[in-house]
Amino acid sequence: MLADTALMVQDETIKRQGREQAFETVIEPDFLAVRNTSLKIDNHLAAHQLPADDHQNCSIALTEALNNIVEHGFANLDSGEIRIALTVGVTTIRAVLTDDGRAMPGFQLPEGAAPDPIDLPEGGFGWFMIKSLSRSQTYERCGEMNVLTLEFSRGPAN
Amino acid sequence: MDLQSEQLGETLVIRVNASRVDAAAAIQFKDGMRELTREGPDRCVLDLGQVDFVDSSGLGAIVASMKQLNDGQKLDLAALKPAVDKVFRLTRMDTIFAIYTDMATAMTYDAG
Repeated sequence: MLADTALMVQDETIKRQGREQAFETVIEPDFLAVRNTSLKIDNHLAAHQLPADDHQNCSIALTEALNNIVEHGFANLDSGEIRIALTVGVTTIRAVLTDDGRAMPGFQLPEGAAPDPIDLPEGGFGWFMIKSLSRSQTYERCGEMNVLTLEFSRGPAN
Repeated sequence: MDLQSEQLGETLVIRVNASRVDAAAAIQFKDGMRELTREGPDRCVLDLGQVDFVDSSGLGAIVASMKQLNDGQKLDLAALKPAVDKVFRLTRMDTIFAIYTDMATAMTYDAG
């Protein structure tokens, strides 16, 4: 199964962009591919020796965003792809997720209200977590593509 | 999903031998937990000491594992790593579970 996932990663490069390092990859809309990519994003963030909170925020929010794209954007769609571009700058970590799945309802981001724990919710946390953990979220529908940009603050090193 | 269970006194300890409880593993996790908690003592402790990462689907699967318990059974959590602890605190789902720092602390519950 994991070997299959590795094959799904069609393109992956770590480029130098000026003084920033970018992580770029294209994956199939599949939960195993998201897991595989999430682990690679973790390695990439670890290489930058970010403060633990910044690393966790970015890692958790990006995984939630990718899972949401797979679960909602590509529900009942046979194929497609998700592009991920992550740059770790001096003060900002920026991720751009582009996919050719369905548009967000109303062409806008979900409200992301927190489910009430008392209801013992088994889901619905995704966008609440993304909005809580990132500094800004921008969504645009561009032709047949969804473009989601998430930015995170990068604090001083520990 | 590798779940290992062991009965210690009146407690069923279930150790997650995986680094992630995520969307790709959520259904397997929930099914595995149903099997392991179908019979046995009332108190179950989920040892998350090997788990680096839980996403919202994994969190949902842990909640589902608690909801599918038999009457009188309860599920406690132990040994949450920082990123896992963060997800529970952020969503306030730490308020619906008894959470222990480590397994040794979780097991002192029996003595009390």
